[in-house]
Amino acid sequence: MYKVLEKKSLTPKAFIIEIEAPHLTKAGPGQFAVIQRTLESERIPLSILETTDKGAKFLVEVRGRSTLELEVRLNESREIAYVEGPAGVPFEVKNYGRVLLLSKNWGIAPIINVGRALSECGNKISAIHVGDTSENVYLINELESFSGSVRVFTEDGSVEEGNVQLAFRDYIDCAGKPDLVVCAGNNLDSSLVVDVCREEGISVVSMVNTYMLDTIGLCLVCRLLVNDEQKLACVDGPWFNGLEVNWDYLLARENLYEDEEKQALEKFLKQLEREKLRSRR
Amino acid sequence: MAKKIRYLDRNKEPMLEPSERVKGFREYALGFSVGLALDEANRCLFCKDADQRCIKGCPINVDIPGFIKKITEGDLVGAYKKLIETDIFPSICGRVCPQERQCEGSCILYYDTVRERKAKGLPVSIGALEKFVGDFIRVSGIEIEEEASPPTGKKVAVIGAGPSGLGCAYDLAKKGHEVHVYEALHKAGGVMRYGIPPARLDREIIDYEINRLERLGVKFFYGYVVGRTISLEELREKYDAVYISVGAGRGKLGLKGDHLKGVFSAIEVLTRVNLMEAYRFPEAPTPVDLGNKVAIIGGGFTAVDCAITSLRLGLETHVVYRRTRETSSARQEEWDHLMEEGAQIHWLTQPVEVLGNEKGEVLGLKCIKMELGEPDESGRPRPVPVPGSEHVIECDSVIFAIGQQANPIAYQGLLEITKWGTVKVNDRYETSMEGVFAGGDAINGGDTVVRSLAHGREAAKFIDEYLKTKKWSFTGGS
Ligand SMILES: Cc1cc2nc3c(=O)[nH]c(=O)nc-3n(C[C@H](O)[C@H](O)[C@H](O)COP(=O)(O)OP(=O)(O)OC[C@H]3O[C@@H](n4cnc5c(N)ncnc54)[C@H](O)[C@@H]3O)c2cc1C
Ligand code: SF4
Ligand code: FES
Repeated sequence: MYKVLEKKSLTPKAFIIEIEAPHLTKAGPGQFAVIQRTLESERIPLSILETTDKGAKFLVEVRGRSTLELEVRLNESREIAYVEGPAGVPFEVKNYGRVLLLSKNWGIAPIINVGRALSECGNKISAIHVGDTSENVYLINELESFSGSVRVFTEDGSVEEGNVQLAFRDYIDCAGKPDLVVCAGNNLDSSLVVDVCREEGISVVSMVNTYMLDTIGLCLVCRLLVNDEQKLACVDGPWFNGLEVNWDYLLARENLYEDEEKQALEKFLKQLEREKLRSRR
Repeated sequence: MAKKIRYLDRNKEPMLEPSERVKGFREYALGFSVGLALDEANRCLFCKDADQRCIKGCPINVDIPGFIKKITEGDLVGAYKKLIETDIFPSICGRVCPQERQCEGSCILYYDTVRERKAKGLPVSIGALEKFVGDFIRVSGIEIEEEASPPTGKKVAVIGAGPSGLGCAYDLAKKGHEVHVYEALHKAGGVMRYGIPPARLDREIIDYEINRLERLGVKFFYGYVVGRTISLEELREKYDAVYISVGAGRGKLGLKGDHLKGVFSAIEVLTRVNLMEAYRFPEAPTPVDLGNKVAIIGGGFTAVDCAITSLRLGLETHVVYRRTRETSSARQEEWDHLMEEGAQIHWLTQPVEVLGNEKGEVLGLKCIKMELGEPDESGRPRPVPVPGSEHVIECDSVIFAIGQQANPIAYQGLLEITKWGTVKVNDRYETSMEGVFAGGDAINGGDTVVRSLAHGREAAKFIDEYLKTKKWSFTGGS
């Protein structure tokens, strides 16, 4: 059993946990971990936000049953049965020059992890974060702590209205082309960013989002095409040269389990309602 | 009076009816009762030259007449002790070994291995007897003392908790070494846990065996992906020796259309259902979605296990294999079981393309019929396409069960490998890094549970020698 040392709510949709797990303390930038609250729970991959003396911190955005279950149950017991990691290949940290970080929703967690390392290595950092709504805007102070400029938008206009691609174009118009773009959070947005990078001749490293199951390179559910070659997000990624990723392939394999996810969430919500009823009686 | 040879009256293990079998994932082979086991044990001739027969046919060389004799004497504890001298997991091997190609295939009642000719009978049900003994001990609660030697102060890391790693850990622990097993997943057992369906191997059995190892002092560390969480070199520095038993579990695809959403590797489907219990979805949180009709490509153990799984999920199940039933590496009786359960098996059928629509959904599997032509290098007749025999098997999902490939992340760039990506070893299981040994599927790319187990136990012997002498003889090259 691993202890959850801290659980802090950021917005109604997101919280931070720190897990005590000695094997995570030496994780490299951009790596992730896989957690299961109980041995029967779904295996949830989570980007490492920050390593600590005792383990690592994660940002969890509540999106479906498993993340909701984590949120609810961790209030009852601060224990996690299984923590795998660090997994994936660390981001290649070196001096690229001017780096622009682009994050969507929870993508800000890996972006902060990578951005901090890039800044320590002498890169000049700017950042843009876009949330679906203001509930997906968090950790901006952390981003600011190592970035020269940070801009924040939301797609619903609750903060300044904007989307990733427009914000990126706007950035180029005002500040010129960066030497490197790093983006994370959402395949569709990343693919649009990559389109701009291709047009403008800018290097880009993106985190890809795929389903994951075993996360050790066995099942192939996380497969993608990079330079027409099959790669696995779990052991070869999650960071790839965005220009080489076949985004259509990734997008076509998204939402594989959408119906099931909806069903599982509904079922869990009903269970929570029942539990509430019971405790009222 | 001379004992009458009972050539043909082989006892069959009782089975669930096919209609019952497909209702769920409980075991369908119910095992011998005491009466059946005693009667079957009495069929054995206790051949003096059994080491040229059944024992030789067994990859781990179980003293077969030895343990069967104990059954006939009513000494089941003795039979168990005899078994675990060589095969530490009799309940598992009795269930999953292809005995017809091993011990039972070389039983004198069925085939005379010394004169190399067919005999007139049916072999002793060695597998079912082995399973009976293992199950009897487990279910009876009799605790068999398995004592470890006094601590040697040496530490060994085992990477991967499949049968090979478990076998190695068991012997090293018994020899008094401190053994730490590093496993990436959240449960031990390897393919036995995430691949083989519970309908063939109840998970309680694996738990029981892991518990035996823990009682011997073996420590398990889950969530460690060697090569990512911790490197092989780091482990090598921290321990006196390392055994690599990471298997060769990476799935394989490879057909036009295999990017479609409804296309899965066998390992993905089996892991979802057997490890994560997706058959209980949504009670269990991990889903599986194969639609209503599934086509499974392949003809080995893995294809059979996928079919067992999809039938129990209630799906119309097609198995597509380019060769014939005789060349399949799965247990022959499994094909009969599958057909009884309603699977449609397309022998001599070569898939050529997965057909799908814009949305990434699978519509069908395009295939071509094959016929047997001239023998190939291995002497088996080569299947050749029948012109004009293209046809489409309509389905919502396609599962590739065409074998696995090496998963090299634990040793990539650090050890000499073969052209298949597996670890290169000498006949002492030594790799190109001193103090690092390897065995199981990680060195032969995919074989059987029992052979992996045998590797683990043999390697433990060489590891023990190395810990004492520090002699290393790997020279590479070959
Ligand atoms: C579906 C299927 C059905 C089969 N059915 C049968 C059968 O009925 N009878 C039979 O005899 N054989 C069968 N086989 C073959 C048999 O399962 C294998 O030969 C055997 O399991 C190999 O054992 P192993 O210990 O070498 O590897 P595995 O069982 O593959 O175990 C390797 C372990 O290492 C772990 N691992 C991998 N990489 C790492 C890493 N980097 N760090 C840490 N841990 C790692 C894995 O999670 C796994 O637990 C079957 C195979 C499959 C795929
Ligand atoms: S060959 Fe058959 S009859 Fe002879 S000892 Fe082995 S199991 Fe018994
Ligand atoms: S998650 Fe299974 S191969 Fe990557």
